[in-house]
Amino acid sequence: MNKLTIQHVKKRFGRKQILNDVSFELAPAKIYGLLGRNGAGKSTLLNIMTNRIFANQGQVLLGQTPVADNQAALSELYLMSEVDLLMKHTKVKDTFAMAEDAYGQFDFANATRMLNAFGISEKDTLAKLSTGLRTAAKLTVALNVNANYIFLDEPTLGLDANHRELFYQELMRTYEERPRTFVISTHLISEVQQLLEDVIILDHATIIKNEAVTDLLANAYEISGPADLVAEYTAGMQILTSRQLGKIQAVTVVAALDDHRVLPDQVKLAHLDLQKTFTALTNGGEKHE
Amino acid sequence: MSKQTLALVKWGLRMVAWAFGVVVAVLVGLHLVSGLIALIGGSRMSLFDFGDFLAGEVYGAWNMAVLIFALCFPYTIFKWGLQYNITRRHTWLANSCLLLVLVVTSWGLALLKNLFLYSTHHLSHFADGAGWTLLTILVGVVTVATIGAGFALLNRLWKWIVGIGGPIVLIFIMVTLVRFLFVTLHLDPATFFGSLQFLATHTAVMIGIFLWLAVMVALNYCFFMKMQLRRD
Repeated sequence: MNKLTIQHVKKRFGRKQILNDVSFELAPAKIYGLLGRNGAGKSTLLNIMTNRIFANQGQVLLGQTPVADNQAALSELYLMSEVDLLMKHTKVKDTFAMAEDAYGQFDFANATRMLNAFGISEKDTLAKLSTGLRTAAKLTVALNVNANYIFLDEPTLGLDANHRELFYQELMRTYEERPRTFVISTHLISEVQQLLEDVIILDHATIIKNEAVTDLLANAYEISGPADLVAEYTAGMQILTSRQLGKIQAVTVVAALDDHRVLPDQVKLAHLDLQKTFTALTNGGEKHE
Repeated sequence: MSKQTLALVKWGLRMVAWAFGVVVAVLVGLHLVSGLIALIGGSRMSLFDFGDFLAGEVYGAWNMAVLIFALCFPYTIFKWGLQYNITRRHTWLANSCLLLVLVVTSWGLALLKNLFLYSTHHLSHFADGAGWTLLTILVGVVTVATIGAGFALLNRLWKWIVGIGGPIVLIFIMVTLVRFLFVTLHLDPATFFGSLQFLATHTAVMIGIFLWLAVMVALNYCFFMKMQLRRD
């Protein structure tokens, strides 16, 4: 399986720069999180990667082959998005048949099992389904389609907690049975943290982080304690966020700590989870060296 | 033909068959109701004349459906293609195949209609002019399909602007041209149209038609290759 390379992609809508020189690679058989605030350009990036819209500049390669208008390369990719591209009177079973016609080797048995688990009938039309169930039907196609790179844009849109849990289980099941690359773009960061191996964070049209979740979180800290001691300990570090309550201050940093710095007894160091790390990196709060 | 193109053709034909079935069912229903009303009213009109039905409503409805389909379908088939990552080229090819099927079906219906009409009036040579009929349908469908593909590039606002403004601009250009020729340049209409007689030759007409078709097909292809997922 070839890696997918995104090279120097730029996209502008009118005067607004949505993506600015975005480059990264997706390795085979990995689960990625594509995170970003509303309007960060996640969907635009996924649409460009799957040739749904054109980039102003840059290209997407599968191995050494450009993906744009290349059927062999495009047949390796599948994007499930919140946009409904099929007609509303399309039956769920027809969406399976279409996936079989276009990609081949659709896993009908597993898809039927998943539909039953979600409580959807194969004969239902997409129009008859609620937003959540329509998402579930789309997810059923996405997890059973014969593609090596599967992009899930807002895969939990409208899903209730039980169905979200079911989706995470089904994702892990299909990933174990047939490892493929999944890219999950979602705002429910806490829920997907355990699933992700790598994370790509988009902010202000560029990628600000692209690394293994464990590596990122290993260097993401909240440092709290008396304000003067915290300030002394973090001197010279990039503070992403800062909160002060009386004389107590809490700051977040995402950086390797210098082993030579001595942590004062009254200062507490705690690791951040992915959601807090993301918030610290992207909230545009107080930033100073 | 790739399996992706075949898939799109298959789904498209299914949609056409479904739409046509609905249209015919509605027409049959209307025909039967009007026949029954006529019978109840004591009219000597027959309940259902298949020849009239085919020659009249079905043929007209089918042609209308084909034109609407050719106009509206490009973006629909493009979205299907996007959902299953089918290239623009394959999608264009599938759309072209579907249009060809529609043209041939229209032509077949036209011949069938002629057959019924001629047999009713005990005439022969019902297939006379069949070639011209085919060309007319082909030019009409391809032109409308190209306009549809062009509209698929536009967002809703620009669709309205071009949809209303385009014909107005076209009429304005035509009127200006006529004024320029016959008012400003004081050309004599008889002389002018006489000098265009050479265009009325069979060869010139055929060349014109095929040139027009070639331009439309090329434009259609270009429009498909430029289509993108729209946010509206």
